[in-house]
Amino acid sequence: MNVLVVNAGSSSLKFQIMDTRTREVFAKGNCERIGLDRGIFGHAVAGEEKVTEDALFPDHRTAIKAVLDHLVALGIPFEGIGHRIVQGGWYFEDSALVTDDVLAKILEVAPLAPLHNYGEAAIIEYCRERYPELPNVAVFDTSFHMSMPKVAYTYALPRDVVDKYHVRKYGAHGTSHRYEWMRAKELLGDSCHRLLSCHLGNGSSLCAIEDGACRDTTMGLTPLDGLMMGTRCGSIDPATVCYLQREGGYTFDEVDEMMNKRSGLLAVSGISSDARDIRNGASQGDERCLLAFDMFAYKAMTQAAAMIASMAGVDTITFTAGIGENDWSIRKAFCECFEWLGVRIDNERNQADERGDRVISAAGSAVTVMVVPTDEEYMIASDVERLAR
Amino acid sequence: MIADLGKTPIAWHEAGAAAGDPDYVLAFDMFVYKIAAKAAEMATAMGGMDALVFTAGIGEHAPAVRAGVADRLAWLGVHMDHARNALRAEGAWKLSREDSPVEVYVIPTDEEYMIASDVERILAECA
Repeated sequence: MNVLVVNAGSSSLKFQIMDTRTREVFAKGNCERIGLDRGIFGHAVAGEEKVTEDALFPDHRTAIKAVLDHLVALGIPFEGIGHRIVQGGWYFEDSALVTDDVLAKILEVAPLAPLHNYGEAAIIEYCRERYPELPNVAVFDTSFHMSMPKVAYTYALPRDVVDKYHVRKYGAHGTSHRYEWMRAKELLGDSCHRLLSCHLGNGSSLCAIEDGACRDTTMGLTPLDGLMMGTRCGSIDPATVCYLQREGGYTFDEVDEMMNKRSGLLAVSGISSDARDIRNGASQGDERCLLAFDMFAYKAMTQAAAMIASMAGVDTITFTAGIGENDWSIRKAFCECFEWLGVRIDNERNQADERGDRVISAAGSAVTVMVVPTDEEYMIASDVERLAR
Repeated sequence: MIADLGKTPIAWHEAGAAAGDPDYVLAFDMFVYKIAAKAAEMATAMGGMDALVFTAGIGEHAPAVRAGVADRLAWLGVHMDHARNALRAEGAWKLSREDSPVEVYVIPTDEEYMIASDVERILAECA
């Protein structure tokens, strides 16, 4: 089945048309600077150079219209549309065929992800208007984590607050962690029961997966929680939020923006949120870059231990996303940290310049460690096929 | 959940959880779960753990909490001797089995003693 996969960010949109059987991508592209001036429309057809042109996208609706106009002009057909939705809230334990009810729920839980859900809903609405006969499927970043036990997702706040405002751990990157489990299971079979999935990219999260069910994950109510990330601080004492408002005179919007956009690797390194830039600085001995990496690794390792504790052990670790797939020194530090749990890395395999799924642990390691490049678009496309039929 | 139930002594939670009351069970389980998770984090910061020490009101007086935490850390080599854990002793005592890779103790804390000896030490340094 040919599926159009749409992945919208707060001011961007990525799309691709994929064959669910062969995983071949026929066309892809992106719209940048939605809601800003000097928009960019990039697109490529399989086998050809990417084309970039100036555009203006006042909102997500304009952007998806431009994408669909472009695909009509290319003449590449698709039989269904998959939408990546950041927040499924407390409603969705699985991806869902879009109906009026589903759309209403996406909007109802939007306050949990205000920068994402509204734009994503607007895109769905336009697709339904333009192609009423085509199935739309919503694939949520959160639904995989709905299998978490209560002991992991409940926040120890007063019951009435928790119930009224649905504050709990939701997690994110669910589609990626689900893919990592599926692929690890395919590759390792019966020896894979307790997986620590490490999605380390611009956003980073860990997920403990036992026999296909999420046991715990590091992101929380929102993607701010858990690991230190490119521009996010990750877990810090929640009292910091109050303290900064009281003593620093910041508004809650300013603190929100600070913790989400001006913290993390960017704040500690002082130069960039991009791990590659910081890697350069660190290799030249820049103290702040070295600290930024040390902190990133430290927080990832300690929170990994918490994830392993939720499964009472681990037999498989996978690394994925920008840093997980490309930064061998982070993987090395991580694995060496867990030597006391019997993790043995194979340095040659770890540092080999390879793409694709691969094992990087040594033979005889108590834990199998792999790099498994994620493919959220494929998971979204196959969910469309599964639910549209 | 604990906040919801007000200033309820941990013993009530232990009893309530043991009796199967769902609110107590969740509160107790969450409490133990998070202690174990953080203990695993701390152990990782050290590259392993030789000894696990319980202290303060709950640590010194709630055997069910200690047993729950130890159970959740068995994979790290924490093995409790349940008879020793059930003791109500004075002072410090060992709770782990002899073959436990990680030793487990109750050591009643004494912050007043630390404060007093710091006074002595710092006054001696200043003199």
